[in-house]
Amino acid sequence: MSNKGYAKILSLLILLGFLLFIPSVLSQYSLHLMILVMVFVVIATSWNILVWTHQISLGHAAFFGIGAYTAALMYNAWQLPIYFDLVLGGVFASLGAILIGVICLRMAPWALAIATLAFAEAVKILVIMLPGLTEGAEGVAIAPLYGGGETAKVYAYYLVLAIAFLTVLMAYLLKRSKLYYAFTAIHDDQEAANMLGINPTKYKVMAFTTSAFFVGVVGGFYAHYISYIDPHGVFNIHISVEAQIMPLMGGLYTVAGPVVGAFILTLLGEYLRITVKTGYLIIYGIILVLLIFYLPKGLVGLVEGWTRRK
Amino acid sequence: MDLATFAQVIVNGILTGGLYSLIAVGLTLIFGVMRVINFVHGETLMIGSYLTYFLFTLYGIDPFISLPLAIFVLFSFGVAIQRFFINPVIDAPHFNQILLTFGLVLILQNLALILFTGNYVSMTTGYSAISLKLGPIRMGLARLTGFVIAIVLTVLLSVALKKTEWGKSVRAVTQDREAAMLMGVNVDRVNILAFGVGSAMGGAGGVVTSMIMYTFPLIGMLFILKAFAIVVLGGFGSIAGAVVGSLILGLTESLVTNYLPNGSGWAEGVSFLILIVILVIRPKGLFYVE
Repeated sequence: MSNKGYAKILSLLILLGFLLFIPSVLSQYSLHLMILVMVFVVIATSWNILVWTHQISLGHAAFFGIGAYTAALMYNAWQLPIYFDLVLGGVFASLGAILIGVICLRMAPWALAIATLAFAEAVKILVIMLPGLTEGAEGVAIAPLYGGGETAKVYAYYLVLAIAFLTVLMAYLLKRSKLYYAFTAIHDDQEAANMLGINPTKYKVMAFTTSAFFVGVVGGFYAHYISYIDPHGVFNIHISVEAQIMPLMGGLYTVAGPVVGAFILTLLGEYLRITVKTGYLIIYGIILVLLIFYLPKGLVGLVEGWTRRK
Repeated sequence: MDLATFAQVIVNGILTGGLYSLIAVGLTLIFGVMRVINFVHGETLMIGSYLTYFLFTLYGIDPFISLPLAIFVLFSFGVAIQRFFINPVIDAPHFNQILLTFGLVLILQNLALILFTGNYVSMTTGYSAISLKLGPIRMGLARLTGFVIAIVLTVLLSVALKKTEWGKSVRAVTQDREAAMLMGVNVDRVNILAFGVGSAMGGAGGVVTSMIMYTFPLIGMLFILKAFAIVVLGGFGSIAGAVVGSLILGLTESLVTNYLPNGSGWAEGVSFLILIVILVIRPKGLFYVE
């Protein structure tokens, strides 16, 4: 392994050590922010996997919401250990993804984008309109995670850190696996990939399902952590927007990009929400437009550009 | 089933469909020419509706006078958006274009939120309360006028597409961009004009919305989702398809609202259901132009 490789691993270990250590120094509020950052690391990383196969989802809120509702309703019905809920949340989100997959993964990317958006809205309306099952627009309350309180927050942080770690690890391994070559082939030229014996639909559904699974799991975590969910909150279109803008800011097609984007934008978003209050999303819009024009490869692309030039 | 009620439900559906067609026709025109998923289109409606609202409440200007003004303003707006934002990324991946128009939506929506607050506002014109009676059927004058405006503008656009030089260029580019370019069609000009005209239609939709319902900063998102459903339903790029799709959606919503328990809640989801069903049975829409 090259020196650069060792340097990379070392810096990753330092980062991980740092993340494991911070609960002991952070205030409750900062820890809450770090938990949100980790939630978005999962969403952004999962969303980015789709881009590898040239698919755009504008509806990742659907998977987040499905995960959250599955976990909340399961827990309230049977009080299983929460890890079951989280996995079930992921499984149900994946089922949703397979449904979309069967319906429309053969469509052009733009049509898929609209279909996913419609899917998220459709699921939201189902949740609102079936109060017998979901308690409708009122939302669902769940017992706080690990009994609530200060130590519970630390545990919650470690739990979501573990989920985020697994998601990023999955993305990393996926990127180094043979699958990634199939993904890239589909991304570059679907027809050609098909002729070489790569079944685009199979791989697209695979990427979509994987992506949805992790978002569903973290949706389940969010429901337990926040201990109250409602359809307009967890199926919010802004979750789908964040899912796109974070990888774009960090750098599409990379593993580090969505993580970097999630850190910066979650913290920036929280800062803006508190200071600007009304209409703070305007800043997001401006960032999005500027990124498309001046930094389509994201921050990671920028840094790689620098190091290569040296 | 009561026949009079049924007739009323059908009439309501057709009137709503007319409003939808104003928005969907512009969207499908833009898509046909440029193959761009234009989320900004919903915001042309938002701007048009606030323009009408403020002209009326501040200066007492009737929506009928605001209509040509809104068409002009939103035409210019569309031209500017195309020229400065869409054109530079016209050859970039779909992905970048979608995110770009999404970014513009966030900017416009939140600008409106900052300037006008998130409150719903509506206005009362002298004819708001007047309704016409046709046998057992009642039609609000404002809604009927909105429908007539929609029909007139759509017919005008269709005639322009059939008869004028520009219209022929638009259809040529819609069918085959490369070939049109080789035949000497100035594609840039066609793009800019199509975007302007499409946005103007959206603006007119805004004038009608503020006449018959209300407006608020996020109204664009409400309509753009439906408009996309309609455009997919009718086939991307097809004007006739957009009109038929609008009527289908308007009628279905009206029927669901009246004949299902809790209908108005379900009606909100009908467009998405139709969208998904159409994508399954006919992925390219009912009137797809190759």
